[in-house]
Formats: sequence, C-alpha cells, structure tokens
Amino acid sequence: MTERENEPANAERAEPYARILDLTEAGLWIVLLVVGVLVALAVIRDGETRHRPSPSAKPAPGGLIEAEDLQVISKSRDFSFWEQDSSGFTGGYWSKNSHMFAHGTQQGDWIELRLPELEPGRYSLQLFMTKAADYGIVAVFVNNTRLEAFDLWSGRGVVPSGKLDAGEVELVGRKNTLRLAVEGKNPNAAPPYYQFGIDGIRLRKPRSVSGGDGESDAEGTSAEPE
Amino acid sequence: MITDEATKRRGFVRAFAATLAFWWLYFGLLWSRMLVERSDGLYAGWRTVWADWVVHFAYANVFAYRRIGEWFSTNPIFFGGGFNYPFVADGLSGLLMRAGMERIGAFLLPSVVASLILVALLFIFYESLLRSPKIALLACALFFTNGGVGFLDLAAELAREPALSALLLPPREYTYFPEQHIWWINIVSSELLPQRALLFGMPLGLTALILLRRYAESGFEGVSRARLAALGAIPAALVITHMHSFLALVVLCGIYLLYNRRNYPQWLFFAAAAGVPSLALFALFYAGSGAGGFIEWYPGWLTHPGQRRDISLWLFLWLNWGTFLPLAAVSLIRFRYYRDPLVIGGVVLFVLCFLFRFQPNVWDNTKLLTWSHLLLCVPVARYLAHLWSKPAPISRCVAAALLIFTTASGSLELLRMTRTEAVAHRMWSRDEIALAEAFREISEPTSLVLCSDYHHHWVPGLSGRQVLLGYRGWLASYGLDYGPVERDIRSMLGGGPDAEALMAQYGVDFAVIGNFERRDFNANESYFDQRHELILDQANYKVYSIQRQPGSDRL
Repeated sequence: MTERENEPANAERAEPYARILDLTEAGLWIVLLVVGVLVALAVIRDGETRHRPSPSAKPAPGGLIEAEDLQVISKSRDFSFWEQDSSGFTGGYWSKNSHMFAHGTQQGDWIELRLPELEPGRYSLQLFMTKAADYGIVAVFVNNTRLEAFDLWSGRGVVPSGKLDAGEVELVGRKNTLRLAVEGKNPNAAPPYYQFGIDGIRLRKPRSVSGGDGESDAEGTSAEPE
Repeated sequence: MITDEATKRRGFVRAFAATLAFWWLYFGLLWSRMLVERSDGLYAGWRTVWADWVVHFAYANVFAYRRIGEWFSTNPIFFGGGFNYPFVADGLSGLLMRAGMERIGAFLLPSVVASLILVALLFIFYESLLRSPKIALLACALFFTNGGVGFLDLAAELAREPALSALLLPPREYTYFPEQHIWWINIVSSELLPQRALLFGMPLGLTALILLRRYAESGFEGVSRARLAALGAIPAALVITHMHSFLALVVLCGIYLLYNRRNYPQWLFFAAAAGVPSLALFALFYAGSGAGGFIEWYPGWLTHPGQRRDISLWLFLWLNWGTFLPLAAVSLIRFRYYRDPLVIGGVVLFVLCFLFRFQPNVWDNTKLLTWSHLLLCVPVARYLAHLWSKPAPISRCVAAALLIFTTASGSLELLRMTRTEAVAHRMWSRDEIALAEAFREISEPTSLVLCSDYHHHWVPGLSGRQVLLGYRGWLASYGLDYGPVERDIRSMLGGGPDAEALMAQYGVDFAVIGNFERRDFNANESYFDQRHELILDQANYKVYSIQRQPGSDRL
C-alpha cells in the first residue's frame, strides 16, 4: 500500500486521540474559568472583609479611633466603602496614610458603623473626614440621634477636613452606632457629587472637675472620667 | 481559482461591512451624545470626557483665538511654561472654530472622523495579520470590549436579585473598579473618548504598521526609497500628535528589524527617514520640557509597592485581564505567534509597561498598554476561532464562555456610555458660558488672567484667555513645578502686601473672583473692590481690570 492509501486509516486511528485532546483542552479552560470566577468573586464581593476591623477598635495614643477599625453594621444599599490609600494625595496627611472611602453613593445613602465599647456617659464626638471636589454633604447620627451635617466639598483637591465637632452624644455600653448619611451636595460639587471619606473619630469625655481643656480622651474600654 | 478569489473577496467585503456597520453606528451614536447643550448648560456625555476635555478646550482655544505667532509662546494653562503638548488634534478643532464652526461641532466632527477611520484601519490591520475576515471581525470586537472581571459583581447581584433595569443601565462602571484593584478601564471609555491625541495617533500608527507589514512580507520588493521616505512622515507626525503612539511604533519597528534582518538596509533607511524629522520636531516642540526624563524603573506597574495597593501581581492581572492573557499566551505557543514580530511587539510593550513608569502619573502607562492590547487581540481571536471550529460541542461552548468572559465587562461599559441621560455631567452653566463670551469681547487674546486653578474654570476652558495657573492635577501629571506660582497667586488674590508688585511683575491684565477664588485662595474681594475697576459682575463672578504700572513688563 502506498503512503497515501494509508492516510484514512491513520486518520481514523488518530481521531479518538484528537477528541481526547479536544476534551482535555476544553476541560482545562473550564477549570480555569471556574477557579477564576471563584477567585474573582472572592475578591470583588469581599471588599469590606479584606479590611475587616479588629473586634474592639481602640483609640490611638492621641485618642483617634481609625475609621478603618470601625465595623460596618449596615448600609442603605450596596455601595462601596473601602480603605483607600491616601499617600498619593498631596493636600495633607491622613492617619496611617489611608481613609475609608464611600464610593457609588447617592443622596440619601447611609452607612452605620459600630462604635468601640466605652464607659456609658456623655462624650463629645469629633470627626476627621476627607474633603474633595466630588464629595457631598454628610450628616452624622449617633444612636439614631442626628448631630451635625458637614459639607465635604473642596475645590483644592483631596484634603483632610481637620477636626469637625459633631457635638455631645450619650453612649450606652456596647451597642453604640455611628451613622453617616449623605444629605446633599454643594452647588459647586463635581460628579458623582455624593462621595465621602472618613479618616477617624475622637470621643472625649467632659472632665468632672474644671480646669485643663475640659475634656479627656476616651481610651477604648478602659476609658474612665478623670 | 477565480471562484476561490471571488469567494474570498466576498467574505472580506461582508466581514468588513459588518464591522463598519456595527462600530460606525456605535461611534456615531456615542459621539452624538458626548457633548450636548441643554437648557441649563453644556454637558459632557461621559465622566472621562467631562474630566479631560476641559484642557483640550483650553488648548484648542489657542488656535481659535490667538494670533498665529503666539500659538506656542506659552502653555495655555501654565503661564511662562512651554506648550509641550502634542497639539494636532486640538489644533485641528481650534482651526475649525477659527473658521467659524461652533465649539461642539469643531470637537465632535474630527473625533467622529478619526473613530470611523480607526475602525476601518483596525479591521484591515487584523485581516492582514489573521488572513481571515471573520476572525478580524472578532479581533475588532475584542479590541473595543476590553475590561477585567468586574462584570462578575453585577452577575452576583443579578443572581441574588434579578433586574432587567441593571442590564439596560449597568449600575456602575465595571472596568473601573478601583476598590477592587480593577484599573484596566475600557479603551473606549478611558482612551478613545477622552484622549483626543490618542484617538488621532492610533490611525496614524496603524497606517504605518499596515504598510510596513506589507512591505516586509514582500521583502520590500518594488518599494522605492521615495515611498519609504514618505512613510517616514507618519512617525514624525506622531511626535506632534501622540507621543505614546510614537514610542510604541519605535519599539515595534525595532522588533520587526530584529525579525527581518535580511532587509535591514530598508529598515535603516526608513529609520533615518522617520528619525530625522521626528528629532527635528521633538527639538522644536519639546526641547527643555523634560519629556523622556519621566521614565523610571517601576516594576509591577499599579502593583508596585509605591502604589500601596496590597495585591499580588498575578491576582491583579487576573482581575484586570481575566482570560485574555491566558488565551494570548496559549495561542502564542499553539499558533507559533512568537514568530510574528508584531504580536511579540505586543508582548514586549506589555512587559515594558509592567517594568517602567513612562509618565509621572503611573496609570498613564495605559496609553502604551492600549497598543499592546491591540496587538494581543490577534492571538486571542485566533485561538477563540480555533476552539469554535472544533467538532466537539463542548469546545464551542467553551469558546463562547471564554468570549463572554473576556468581553462582558467592556460590553457593559459600552452600553453604559450610551445612556447619557443618566451619566452625563454638566461642564458649564449657561451663565458661565455667557460670562466667558462677554469676557472674550472685552479682553485681548493674550490677556493674562488671575484666577483659581479650578478644574472647570470658565476662563481657560471657555474664554480662551491665558491663566497663570490651570488645574494643578494636570500640571502634576506633566511633571511641572507650579509651587512658586501657586504661592504668588495666593498672595495676589489675598491682597497681600506684595500683591500689586506681583501683578505688575507677571503682567496680570484681569483678576477674576468667584466661589473658587474665595474658597481655594481666600480671595480678598474688598481689596480688589477698592483698588481695581470692576468690569463684569455676573454669574457669581467679579472680573476686575488690573491697571498695570507704566513701564512694567511681563515675566
């Protein structure tokens, strides 16, 4: 038999192997897709858990409680609230070079954060927020009591807000909540208008005796009035 | 044989027509919505156009309003600095405005034409590499629908709560998902729409590649030196049209020369024909700008430790490119694309972007990654077609799944971009437009204006008058040191003790005080009220005429 006459027989013999190779190739791609989808979903749908706060947020020596350490309890809907690196911002300094950034927010959106466990009593609340051209007006609530609203718009790029006094609050043991709600926007705000960022908070207990600055820093669960 | 040729030609014409019909329709629809006047002002149809076109307006204004000899005298958004931006696209729009065309038409018309030419050239380029019109059609689709795996977020949402509305108007951008490290934004969204220089540079670069490929394949048979010399005009034109496309072309031609060494005399002649005018134009327009000095070793691109993103390179690649890179890698080996200099060029450009920073803003490496993506679509399309052509049904299913996975995020973005009724952003109000026109009437084309650097300030964007300092974000991305000027502006607007001396020193003709001057630079309105003549007071802005001291000259 000539070589040419052998070809169909060779092709017939090769066909099963070709099919096996095809199936293997397809199978490998399926495995890649399945594993890849799982990995991607684990990352994409887990933005907040990657920065899961420690169970009990503790203030730093200066009394600042990092926003990154406050546990997210709930949100009005599924917008992003994530730890954004601030080292690229040239408008100032943020504690630990990052802040928590709310992205994809609309007017009326809110996020509720768990405050650290503190001695029950009255505290003054200070917030350290971020301002930017596309940030909105954010109202602050503690345990569902509305305190102040802050316009976080800035035409000077991304800048730290500095200390913002939200007023005095009554804290009640373990289940204190801080809610940040987007109430509106500055007329000069740029799209998407309603974002906001928070670097941290400070809770200070008024001193029981007169003198000094009249307040003391809360030191986590061990905070005691002087 | 004749029938074969006719069939081939018919196949080419059909695929070409289908590509043109779909993408021309898409771009026609998209551009018609990108810059629109509404009752309350001028709107940009998409976020990136809103952000980037302000500076393009400022550049085009130079060509529209200034005398020819003054076009390149200073940077339109940084007084005293050189005008070192590749100006062709904005220059063309400016000249159309000078000829009497409305701003919107002058900007949209060249963009539409460039997009249509790009689509046609892209198809011809892919067809010449793939030798298959159908696969070229697929490659074009792959090119325009890049994006990562962000669509899975929507898929998970829909699985939890099905909603048709989310498919008609995707709730967010899925190729720009920074909190999940997705930064490989869809090319139409982040490159072709906002970056006018790139939109004009790509057709030029593609023309050069198509012709060079044809010449090299024929061994430069019958290609005269005059023709090669004429072809050298394209890279030279890229120097003033889009510098990143020029860089990409240099890299690709270098690799082609290595693969095609036997024709080195022709390649060297072409290099000389392109190099001499390119260097001349570079010296003319960029000398002293520091262009090229930004390049630095920066392994990892956006995963570089300096970016503090806390993500591994491999995970970053997967999130941003999904199956695109594995498909390209497998195809490179399976179809021996390592023997194709242009595909290898795509790989080299990709690697370079992950090793070096080419501009102060590291994200700008995407301008080169766009070229890499364009070239790597070739092996990806080839491999998908190969899987589709297999007899086993499972192979077809896998090919379809891979295609969907590779293009889903980009397709959602293309859809979202057309929904301008929901995603458009106002650039300027009607009052600001009227104010800019009034101000243009009473000022000279070279008048120097003291105002804030607000991103959307109407002075540089609409009136076309020279400002001391434009938006600092742009200046930082060009690597310019604006600190001293910023301090002087603060002093002048604040009415400090040296305000008058500084205004005389710079030669300020007008001062503008509005919300941004008050809030960003603590402008002292009463100071200007007392000392300078108020000539315009509308739309919450006050414009003062600054009387220059006799004998004072500009810096």
